[in-house]
Amino acid sequence: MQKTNEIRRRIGAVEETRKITNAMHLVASARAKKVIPKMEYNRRFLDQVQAVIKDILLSPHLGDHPYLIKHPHARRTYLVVSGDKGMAGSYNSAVFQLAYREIREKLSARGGGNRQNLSLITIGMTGDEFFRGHGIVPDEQLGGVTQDPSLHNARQIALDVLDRFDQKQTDQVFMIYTPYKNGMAGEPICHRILPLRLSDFLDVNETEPPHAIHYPYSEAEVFQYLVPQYLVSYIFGALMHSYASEHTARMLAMQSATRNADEMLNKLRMEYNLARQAAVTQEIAEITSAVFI
Amino acid sequence: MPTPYQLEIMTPERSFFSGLAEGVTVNTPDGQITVLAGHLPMVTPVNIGSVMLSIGGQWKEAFLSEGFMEVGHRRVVIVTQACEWPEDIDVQRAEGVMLRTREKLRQQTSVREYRTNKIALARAMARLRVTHTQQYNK
Repeated sequence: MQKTNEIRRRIGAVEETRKITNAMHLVASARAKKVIPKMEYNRRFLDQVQAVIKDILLSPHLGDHPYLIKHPHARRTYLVVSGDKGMAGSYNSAVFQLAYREIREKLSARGGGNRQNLSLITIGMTGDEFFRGHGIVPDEQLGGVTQDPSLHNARQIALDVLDRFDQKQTDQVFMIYTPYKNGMAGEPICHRILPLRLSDFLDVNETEPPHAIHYPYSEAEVFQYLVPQYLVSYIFGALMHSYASEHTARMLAMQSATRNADEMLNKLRMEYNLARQAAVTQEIAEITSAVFI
Repeated sequence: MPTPYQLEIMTPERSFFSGLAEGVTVNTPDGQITVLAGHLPMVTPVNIGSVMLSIGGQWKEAFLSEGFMEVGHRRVVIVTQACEWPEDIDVQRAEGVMLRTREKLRQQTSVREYRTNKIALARAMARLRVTHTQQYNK
C-alpha cells in the first residue's frame, strides 16, 4: 500500500509539471509568431539604410568622419542580448559563452586591455547574473527590454550608445545577439555596430551608380542623419531576432520537456498498476491462506 | 496630370506607403521640397513634420518623423522612424507627450535628456499639427 501511494503522488507531481511545460510551450510559440512578421519590415528598412550608407562610403567626398575612425587601442563597449529568464535550452548559455570568450580575450594580457577600457551593457537579467557570477560587473544592465523588443526600447539603446561614442567614452561598440534563422535560433554572433567600415557593407547592393547621386547637403551631413537611423534599425532588428530566437528555443525545450513528462507518466502508470495488482494478489493470498488454517 | 512614379515610405515597423504617386513634399533642413517624376537622383535628410503625397491628383497629408529621402531613377524612397495618417494619430497621447516633454525641457536636465525630449516634443507637435489641419479642412 505504501508503494502505490508513493507512485500516485509522483504521478500527480509529474502531471502538474507537464501542465506547466505544456503551457510554456504554447506561450512561447505564440510569442515567437507575434514578432516574426514584423522582422520583415525592419529588414527592408535596414537594407535601404545600408544601401545609402554604402553609396556615401563609396563617395570620395566623405573624408574623415568620427563614425569611421578606427583606433588601434580601442576601448570597447559590448551589448550582450540574452533572455530575462532561463528555461530556453542552450539559448542563454550560447550567448554567454561567446560574450565571455570575447571579453576574456580583450581583458587578457594579449588583448592589452584592462577593465576600464571595456564597458559591458547587459540586455537581459540572465546576462547580469552570469557576468556578476564570473567577476565582471556590468556597467549598465537593462532588464525588461528583451521581453518587449519595441522600437521605443531600440531607440533608447541607440541614443545611449551614440552618446557614449560621441562623448569619446568608447571607440568601438559591439553587439552580441542570436540571429533567428530558418525557423530556429541560430548561432550567436558578435557584430561591430560602431564605427562603420566599408567592408561591413560589401554584400549590400548599392541603389544607384554612386557618382550619379546629388547631395544637396554634404555627404558628411547626410551621414550624420543616417548613422542614428542605422543604429536604431540594427538594434531593433537584433532585439527582435533575439526575441524570436529565445522563444523558439524555449518552445523546443518545453516541447521536449513535455514529451519527457509523457514518457515518465507512462512508465509510472505502468509501475503503479503493477504495484496495485501485486498488493491485490498479496491480499487474496493472505485471505485464502487464512481460510485453510 | 504629372507622370506618376513609384514611391515608398518605410519605417522599421511597417511599410507606410508603397505605390504610385505624382508628387511628394517633405521638410528638409533648408525648407520644403517637392519631388516630381524625373527628378535628379539625390539623398537628403528629412525633418520631423509632415509629408504631402499626391495620389491620383489628390494631395494628402500625413505625419512624418525624422529620416531621409532617397530619390532614384526608378523610385523614390523615404526612410523614417514613424509615419502616420492623421486619422491614425492618437491625439490624446500626443497632447500628453507634448505637455510632459515641455515641462521636462523647462527643468534643467542632462544633454542627453534634452535631446531626447526635444525630438519627442517635435514629434508630438507635428502629429498635432497634422491632425488639426485635417479638422480645418472638414
